[in-house]
Amino acid sequence: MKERNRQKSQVVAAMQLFNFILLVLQMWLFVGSLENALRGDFGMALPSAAASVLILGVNIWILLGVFRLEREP
Amino acid sequence: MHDKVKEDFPIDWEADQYVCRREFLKFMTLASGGLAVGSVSIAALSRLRRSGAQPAAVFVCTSDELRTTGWREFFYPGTEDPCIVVQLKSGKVAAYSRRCTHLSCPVLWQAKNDRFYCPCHNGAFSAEDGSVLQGPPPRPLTRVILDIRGGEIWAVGIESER
Repeated sequence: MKERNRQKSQVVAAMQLFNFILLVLQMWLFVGSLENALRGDFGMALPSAAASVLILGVNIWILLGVFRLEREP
Repeated sequence: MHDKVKEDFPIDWEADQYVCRREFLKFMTLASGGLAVGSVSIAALSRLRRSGAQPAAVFVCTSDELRTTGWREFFYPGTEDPCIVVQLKSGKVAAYSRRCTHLSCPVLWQAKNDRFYCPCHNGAFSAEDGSVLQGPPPRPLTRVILDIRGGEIWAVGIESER
């Protein structure tokens, strides 16, 4: 049981790290599209928004995964 | 006695203030949602900009008035968007937004150098095309499209993509 909990803890830590990396990527996308938009170039806005929504989906999936992991006996 | 208290209140005051990993992950997902909403808003704004027509034309001044003073302030496209129209040494008439692209200070017209000067951080822009000549501004000034109709100068649009 103790070994199982240790494994779970490691998986949660890995998920957290992945979530953080995705968040940094999302911030970079947001700042990039905002910079371009202020310059009057909106070419990057749509792909960036699509990627950002995709990342949000992955982040929600990770969060639900952690909840599911915690509920498991 | 101490053991009893520990049993009833097993979590220390300080430990109670800690953020658990689950809460941290929730916060990061919320932040991710905020960034996604921001990105989608920018994309929606870009669609609106593309589909929207140029704002209505606004009368600026007559060519004679401009010749007398050399420059004139007007507001375009909204009543809170200061712009400046100038007559260059070459005789050409050009108009730009007065907002410096660095921190939005109003730029000043320097006729002898044919340039706009921002006193806030020593920025300067060319009056020929609005390009940055010196200082911290990251982008050229926004150009206003003019139409001269029988001696009258009208602002008819904003040059967005440069």
